[in-house]
Amino acid sequence: MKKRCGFLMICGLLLLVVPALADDVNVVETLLKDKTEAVLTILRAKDLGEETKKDRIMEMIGPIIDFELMAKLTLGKTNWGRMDEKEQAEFVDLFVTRLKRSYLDKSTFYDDEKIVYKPGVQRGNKVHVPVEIISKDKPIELMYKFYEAAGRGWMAYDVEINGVSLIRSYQSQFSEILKNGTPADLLANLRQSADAAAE
Amino acid sequence: MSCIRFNIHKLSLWISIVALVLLSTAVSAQEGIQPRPADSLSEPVFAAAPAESADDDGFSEFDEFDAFDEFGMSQAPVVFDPLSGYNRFMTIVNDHFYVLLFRPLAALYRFVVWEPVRLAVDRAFTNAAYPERLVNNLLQLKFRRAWVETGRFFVNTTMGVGGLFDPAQNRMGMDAYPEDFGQTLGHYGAGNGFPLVLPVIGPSNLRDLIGFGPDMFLDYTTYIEDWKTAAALGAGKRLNLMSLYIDEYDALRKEAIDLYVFQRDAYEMRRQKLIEE
Repeated sequence: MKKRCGFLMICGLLLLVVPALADDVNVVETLLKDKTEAVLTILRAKDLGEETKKDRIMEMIGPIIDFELMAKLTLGKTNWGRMDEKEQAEFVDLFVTRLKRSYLDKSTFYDDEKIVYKPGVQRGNKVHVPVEIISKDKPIELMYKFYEAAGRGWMAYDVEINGVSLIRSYQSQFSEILKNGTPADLLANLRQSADAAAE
Repeated sequence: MSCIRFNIHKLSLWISIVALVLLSTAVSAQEGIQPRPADSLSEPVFAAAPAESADDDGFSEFDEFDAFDEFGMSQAPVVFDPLSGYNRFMTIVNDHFYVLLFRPLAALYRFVVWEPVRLAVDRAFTNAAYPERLVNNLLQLKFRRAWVETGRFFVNTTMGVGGLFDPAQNRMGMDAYPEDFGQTLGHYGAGNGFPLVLPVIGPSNLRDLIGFGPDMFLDYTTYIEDWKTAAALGAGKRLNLMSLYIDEYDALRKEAIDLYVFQRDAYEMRRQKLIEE
């Protein structure tokens, strides 16, 4: 409890000292909260079919998630450079489809859990907002990471689940494939698992 | 043997596993598979800097990769993994065990036993592991947390009926602060050594394997003379825990592109976070 108070006090001081920065944090916190509540409302709606729910959720959160940037980040500069433009386009397409499906599949686990929003943290020009899902006694700790995309407002570029970064865990799996393989191998691998999931 | 109230088999098993691991690593290093300097033990697996480094980048010239250098974009993450061959093999073995044996068992158990009961059983097992949390909090000089854990243990053992319930959290807002010896070693700067997949238990690393030894002395099952009872308690704890997370684990398992690499890195990131807390 004490720690939380101290943290809130520091946040309070920051609010007074650097209003510009605090504004960013507030904006992102509100954005995340609104979107999360909207998604929960869709998930809890009893009169909607599974597919309709998924479509509506994607409409809701699509605009604040930078899927393409995430695709690039999971490859990293060096490996991204190894692909030609056509390969890059196909990679982004396959990865984004995969990421969306994975998000939607998982979101159905959490339709009636309690969610605790915690104060966001400014990190350079990015804002990280921790959120806790109270589920089965043990809280799941999420960390949403946002950056301000030119002309598109604040967008998420990574999420950590109990400390495990989504970008990083894909990054190391992709670089493992590309260590001994070619970009074509990676694309074939992604295509294969996309087909398997579509069945 | 009846006068010794300590299960010596567990200790000798642990010692032989650690010895085996170190020996095989030494052999593979000598064969020149992964020549590395001797000080590699103290290096973290992720060469990339933690998230804190994110605040020095500027957007003046927007290069997407440079602006997100927290992921160590300039080079692929360097992982010291001398036993990767064995680790991959054991990951496959464990995965088969999961699919063919543990998952069906856990699913059957989940079907038979009501979830609140399984949650209560898990709480009781966790409560009984209090000595490990106490000692490791003390070793890390986290005295307030050690005190809170002590309070939790007494409240939950009495009011919570032997730990089946958690009134300390629910009524008094006392948070749990789990710590183990692997975290204690990490707290004092020990690196992970290298990744290690343990039979049945799954992903781990050299540091955490070494940590099992001291924690063994703080585990009540070590002091149960009848090894069958001790083993049954250990297996029951794991089965009960697994039954609570079958769906989540299945989703992750299905999603992994390279199961070994995924589990290895997820384990490291998770442990890193626990050590930092």
